[in-house]
Amino acid sequence: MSRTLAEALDDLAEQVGTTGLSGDLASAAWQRGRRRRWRARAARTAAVAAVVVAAAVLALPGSSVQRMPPADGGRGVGYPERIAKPWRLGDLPRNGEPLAGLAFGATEGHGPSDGTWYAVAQDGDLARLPTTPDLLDAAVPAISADGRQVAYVDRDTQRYVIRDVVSGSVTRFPTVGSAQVYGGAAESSPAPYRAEVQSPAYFAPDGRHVAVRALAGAAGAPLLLVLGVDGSLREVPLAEDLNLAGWLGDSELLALEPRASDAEGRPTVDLTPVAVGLTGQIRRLPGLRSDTPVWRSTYTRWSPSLSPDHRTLTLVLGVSRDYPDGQGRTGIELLGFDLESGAQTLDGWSAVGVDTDSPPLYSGTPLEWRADTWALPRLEAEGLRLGPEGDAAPSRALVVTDPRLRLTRLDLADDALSGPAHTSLWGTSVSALSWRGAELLVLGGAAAVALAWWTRRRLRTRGEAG
Amino acid sequence: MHRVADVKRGMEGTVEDFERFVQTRSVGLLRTAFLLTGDRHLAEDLVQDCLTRLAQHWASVQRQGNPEAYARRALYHRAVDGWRARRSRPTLLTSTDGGPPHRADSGDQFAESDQRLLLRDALARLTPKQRAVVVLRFYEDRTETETAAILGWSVSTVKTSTRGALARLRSSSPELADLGVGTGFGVAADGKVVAP
Repeated sequence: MSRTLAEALDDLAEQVGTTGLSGDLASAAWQRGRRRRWRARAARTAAVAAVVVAAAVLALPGSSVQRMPPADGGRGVGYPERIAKPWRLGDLPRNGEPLAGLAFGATEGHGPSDGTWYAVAQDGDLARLPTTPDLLDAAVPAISADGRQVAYVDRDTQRYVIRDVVSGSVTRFPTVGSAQVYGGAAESSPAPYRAEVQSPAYFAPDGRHVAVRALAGAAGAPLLLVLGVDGSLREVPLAEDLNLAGWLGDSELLALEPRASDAEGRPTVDLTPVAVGLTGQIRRLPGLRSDTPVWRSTYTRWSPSLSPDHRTLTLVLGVSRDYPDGQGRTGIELLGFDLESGAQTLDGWSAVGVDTDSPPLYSGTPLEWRADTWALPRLEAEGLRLGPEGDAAPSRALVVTDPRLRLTRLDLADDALSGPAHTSLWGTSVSALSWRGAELLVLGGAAAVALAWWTRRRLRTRGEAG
Repeated sequence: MHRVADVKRGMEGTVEDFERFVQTRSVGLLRTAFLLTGDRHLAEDLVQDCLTRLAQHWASVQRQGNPEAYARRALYHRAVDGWRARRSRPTLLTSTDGGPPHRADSGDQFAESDQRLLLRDALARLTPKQRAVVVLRFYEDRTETETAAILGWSVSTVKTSTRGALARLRSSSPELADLGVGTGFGVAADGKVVAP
């Protein structure tokens, strides 16, 4: 044991000599270290920025902004400030959160009636409602005030269903189909009752029943159907041609009885509100006394809308007007009436565009009431926009929608607007960039990853060459 | 502008300080790296790698007052962990393909040279962990606790690795059995640490 291991290691290490690294190598190490330092700083900055953006994107949608006074009965379900085109559209999930509303988007290159019915979540996510994808030639879906129940004609069975989107339970009505059978699939076996097209259905305030205007039997006699979530079906015979306008309570419906008339040589319509009991008894209310004639061509079954306090009935009419500049403007005329007296209390006009050839849009624009204020969706070049009292300025908009969705109808649950607004980083911006923010974020991320990979590879190659 | 640049330079440290450090300490680092890698070029690469890392954190390391300790710690960690992660791990050079080199019979100088080659080959047969622990314990003369702190292991792991390393050294090169470990303990052929 003449030497120790330590001495042997010392001896071996001395083979390296006494010459250290050259100054060039030290300088190169310093340069590389500095580059790494900058890269680390850039990565930290990018990570912090990404976290801030992610926090903003994730946190802001949950924030609450009360844009309209709450309706009686407390807070509603809430509504989205933005409805963007999803990357991937799936069917409405079996169960989940109450919905904010329903919407219809037209398919590009097809007629305004062909498209997709969407279920709109409170945060603006969209899912496909599994019903006949048609606005005008199929039964119109309905949503309850609390956004929990939706009623529609099922796409596969062509029969009416009421679906609880929270529990996932489905109440089927095998005897109720659609008056217009999509694609002729069920023409061989028409249903005894057929929900009429272009006739909105209305849920009772308690969400337990939905009223549908329908045709019965081979003769197609019109009647009202009151369908319960418990599967009950009640026929309410109609002696007159009545248009549904909503519920006056949980056991009485409001309908309008239109009578043809004329004024200044042009066809007009006189309207009488009628309270319809669930057993069919009819109670006539004072007729609506409009200061200006209601032209027959402007009134449809989509027109009536009842305020939540059941005191004001509004008519949304699509009309064209000539302006002093010589151009006509297509727009929406809003007439409001006191139900007790029939006197007119509101006369509003909202221009939609100067193109008089564009079709009237009122069929797709149900009025949204909250307390004694209302909001009206308007179709702008930048997409459908819901603004208070018809104000479509983006800064005041309650809901803006992605123009790529081509939404022509947005029907929010009655309690939605009294709930919190689910906002996001982009607010109510309608710029093209804001609708493509997610895509830009992903593209930017992909570009950053590609750049980092390329830089790393280049540095490695350079290092190996050196 | 000058003041901002000065402050910034002060925060990041100066290249002159770094180069001075490299000039005075690189030989020591290089020797340690040589023992860890068994090859001069690989040792230079390893030291370069660690110096780059040191330069990256130069300002904070300088503030802490002991850049060499940081560099040595980085050296060992890179030798044990960093190089393990490399796709192609550098091949450790040995003087022979298989067994130990032919032992010269004449002269102390040749005998010492042979012993160096034997030791180098024996170190090359150790795992990176074992090499690191041998270098720390017997070249740098660190205690088990210090070795454990530098490598980030437990003391018992250091003990186990030391025992395993010495056992392998002796089993792979019986000629090295003459070497005392210099710690007051000997290691038996079966790897057990025994009192001399």
